[in-house]
Amino acid sequence: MLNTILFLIGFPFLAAILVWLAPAGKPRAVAVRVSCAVISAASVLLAAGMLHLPDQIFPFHNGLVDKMLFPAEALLTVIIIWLGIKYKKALAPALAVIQFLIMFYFEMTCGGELAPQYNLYIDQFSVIMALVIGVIGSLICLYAVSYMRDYHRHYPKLADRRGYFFFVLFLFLGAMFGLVFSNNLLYMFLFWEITTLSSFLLIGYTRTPDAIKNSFLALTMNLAGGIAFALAIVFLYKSYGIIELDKVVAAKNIALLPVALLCLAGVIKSAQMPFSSWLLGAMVAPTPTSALLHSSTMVKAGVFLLLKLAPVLKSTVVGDMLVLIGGLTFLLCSLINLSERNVKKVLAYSTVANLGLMVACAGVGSYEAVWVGIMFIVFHAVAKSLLFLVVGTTENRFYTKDMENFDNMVVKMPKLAMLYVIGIAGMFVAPFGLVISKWAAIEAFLKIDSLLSPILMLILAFGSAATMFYWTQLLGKILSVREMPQEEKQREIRVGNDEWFSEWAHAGISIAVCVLFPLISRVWVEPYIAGIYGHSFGIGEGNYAIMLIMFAMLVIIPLAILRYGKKMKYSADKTYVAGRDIDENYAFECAIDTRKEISLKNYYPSEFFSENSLLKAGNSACAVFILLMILGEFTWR
Amino acid sequence: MAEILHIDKDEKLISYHAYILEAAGLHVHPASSAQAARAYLETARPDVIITEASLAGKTDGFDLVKEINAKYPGIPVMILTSVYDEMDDAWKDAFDRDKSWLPVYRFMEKPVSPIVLAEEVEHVLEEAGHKHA
Repeated sequence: MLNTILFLIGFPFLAAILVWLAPAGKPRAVAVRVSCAVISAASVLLAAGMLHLPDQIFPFHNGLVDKMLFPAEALLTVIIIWLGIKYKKALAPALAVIQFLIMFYFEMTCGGELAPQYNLYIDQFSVIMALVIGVIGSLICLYAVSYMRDYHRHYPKLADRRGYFFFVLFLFLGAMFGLVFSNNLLYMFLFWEITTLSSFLLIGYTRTPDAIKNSFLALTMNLAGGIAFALAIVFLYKSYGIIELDKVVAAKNIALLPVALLCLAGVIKSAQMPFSSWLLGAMVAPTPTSALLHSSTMVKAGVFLLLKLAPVLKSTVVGDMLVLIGGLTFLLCSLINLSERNVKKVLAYSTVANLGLMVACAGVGSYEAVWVGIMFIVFHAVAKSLLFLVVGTTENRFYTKDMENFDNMVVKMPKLAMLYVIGIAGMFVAPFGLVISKWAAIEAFLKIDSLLSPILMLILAFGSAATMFYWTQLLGKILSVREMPQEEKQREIRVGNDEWFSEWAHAGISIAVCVLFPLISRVWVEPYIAGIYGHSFGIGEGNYAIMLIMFAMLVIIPLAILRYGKKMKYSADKTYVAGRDIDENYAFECAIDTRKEISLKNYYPSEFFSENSLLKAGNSACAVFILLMILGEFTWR
Repeated sequence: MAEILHIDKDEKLISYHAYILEAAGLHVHPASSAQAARAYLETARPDVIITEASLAGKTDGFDLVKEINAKYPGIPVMILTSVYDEMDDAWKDAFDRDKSWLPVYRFMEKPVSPIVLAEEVEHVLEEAGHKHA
């Protein structure tokens, strides 16, 4: 078991160097494919090995690793300072230096006496995370092979640094594995910082002014989170002699301040308000980056930490503030999405919103809520990643991210439209994941014994209504068929095999996760929760029959879409318009002989739900909550 | 108003694109051959050039692009083509490895919705530091 874990952490770093050194073209593609296959196989193997085992902790004392920890952090700081000088940004290097000084102080005063009992740790929750990282993560890397080829063909002026791109992707995978298996907070912190750095490097990949600006925004915010993390480590060790995560979770009567600091780091990582802007800015990165780091794995690291801490958070002011931050973020980001037409931004806001729900679940801290939070991670990772991938494919064929240009997708690219439907169904239609989780969330929230319960119910109701609305907007655009001129007929070709494979695998996993959801719950989630809380939570048996019927419907509907591609005959009815029709349904005659084009558009209520005003309101409210969270120790309890 | 030189042997396609591009405030000058394009460039300076890669021959559009880049380095060029489908793998690999031989702002494959084309022209104008954008 320990060997598999060490392999999962170490191999991606080796693979990173391998793909970087591999010659461009076929050899590199092969290197990426093989590495992806190895990583996903190893993570599945690990999960299979853990099927009947309880949590395990490993001492893993390795002098070399312990000696390398501090120099590795110093190296990260040097890289950030160097990049800061190169692009003339002062804030990020300054934060990196502060962070380094904190760790330096810690190393000098306590470095020698540190004696962590267990450095590595594995339980069912980290197995789930490892599966998400290993399987979904490597599928996304595979997808990137053909996506990046098309991307660079479309923008011939951009410097082609694909070797470097894949290097950072694999580096990131290794760091993610390390993060979920670390019990020693110092290990976790190092991996945490590596994910921050790789996110920064990937956002800035194109080196356009926009990309540089947004990459530094993400770096600055996440470094601030890193400072909170570092302070928490120092505080925990100095006051309690604790340096391991499992001891923090198990500790009774621990001060709230270090927990609040860890939560702050988690909140920033998972891009909650008032920090959500970094994730929106991160959408300038090539789409595989958005799928891997900014929806399915890295942002989940924040939620992972919060859910781990959930037992400590239950009915504390820190937990309550997390509930408010998460809840408000969910509600406002869902509302903002109503007036958003850039598909990547829709996905980004929806990611932030769903992360908000997960954060709220962690804040509630009851065993039901943690169950919901973990199920959320699984379902969201699969469905959202699938959606990002199909948007990426669309981008490389349609050259646009504006959903108003997605008309006739079902005729032009029927298979892709089907994948869209599966992804969107995964996000909001029963029985696919998120609805199950939301339904369970209602149950969990109802059991809270305070004023938060009705507030959360309202947030969940209104936020989910908005969610339904914006997914339908996108779905409507994809499925709407209008007559189109011969010049625009599109054939479903030129999509690379890696891309198709990855997308269909995602679709298959989405459906499998839905069918096997009771099994996932029983094998991994319930034992984990039972191990911590002593009793567990599951969805009632009676619901499975309904779920199966709805599942059958959801397979049949997407399959029906395929018929559109096969020269299906459809007759266009004449549209009634306020004037005389000119050439069949394209235009009509308006007053004073003017010609008016007919267009079919979604309604974006931006005057009511404008991004700026909602963000402003949410950011200031959440900033207050964060402040209360940090000061929680000194307020009420 | 930004001027576009749109080179394609399919005149119907140009007029179809032109209809939307003009509505977006871009003026389109059509040219159905490399010669017509050269003649036009003698007399005027468009802000953007959109060209097909196969004009009279299979890939003579590429030669035209190189010529334009050498002669009028300030004008951004976009390729809008269906040639990529007809190319063999060796050629595609070569293109994938090294794009420096063809410095264009965009390489797009047909069909492209004219609304999207108009947006991309705006982006290219912006990237090229054009004042109309």
